[in-house]
Amino acid sequence: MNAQLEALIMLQDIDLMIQEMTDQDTASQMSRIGFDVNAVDNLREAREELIRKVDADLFVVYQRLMQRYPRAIVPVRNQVCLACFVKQPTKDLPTDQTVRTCQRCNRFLYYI
Amino acid sequence: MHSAEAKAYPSMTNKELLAYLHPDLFIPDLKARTKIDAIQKMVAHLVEKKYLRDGRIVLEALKTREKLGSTGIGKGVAVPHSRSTVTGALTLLFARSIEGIDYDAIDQKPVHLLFMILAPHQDKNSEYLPLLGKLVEVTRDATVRRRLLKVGDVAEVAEALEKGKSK
Repeated sequence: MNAQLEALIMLQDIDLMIQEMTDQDTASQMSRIGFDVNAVDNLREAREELIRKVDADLFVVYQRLMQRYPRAIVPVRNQVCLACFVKQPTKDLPTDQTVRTCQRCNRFLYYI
Repeated sequence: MHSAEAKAYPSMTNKELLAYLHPDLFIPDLKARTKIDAIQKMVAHLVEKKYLRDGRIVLEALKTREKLGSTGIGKGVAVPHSRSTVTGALTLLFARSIEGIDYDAIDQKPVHLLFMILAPHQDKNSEYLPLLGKLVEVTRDATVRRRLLKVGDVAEVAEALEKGKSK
């Protein structure tokens, strides 16, 4: 996998984890199950470290996408973006050279 | 108080928990000394059995989750868990360590029973939290823990979990 796409996915995983753990209902449920989830600042530190690995231009796009959609990186199966269900051109087959984006919704694509 | 005001998460029965067990998803004797070593080997197992493709990303998510607080819940049990973009379906992997693992558990005791739970982000109404809650609840039962230390295959794992006390 492209190293930048990998870093973006890791960043999205951290961002969604922070979102989940700062959601009062989820945090309460986790506490009731028996997990201590108060150290969200540690996740924010990990996020800052990860941001240094992402190209600045890609990070700007990522942030814009995260403001617009619940997720900035979405899966593609059989050349179809599983977020907006638009078929991607066959010339856009995955390679390790570039980070692909959906032709319609512009979200980053993760090929499954 | 969070706990008093929080919405109740859907519960899961012991039998529903068993649906997540699979012969490929049982490691009878996990050879690991530390928490990270154990988590790495469990992720590698999932990749080898083709439940995961991008192990590095999932490993990173699990390690990040540990920064929130240890998933070693005491009495020899750990439940490492995380959601990840690259996880296709809710997956439960059970591993047992005969020797015990230095897991930085809340009671500082070695961990022998590990339940790894992975889920995609987009299943907010799914069974992720109920599964997590059910596993913690069932493994609070000392009889279940004793049985799990002796099981030989996944059928015996199922039997031990099914007989666990529910609230």
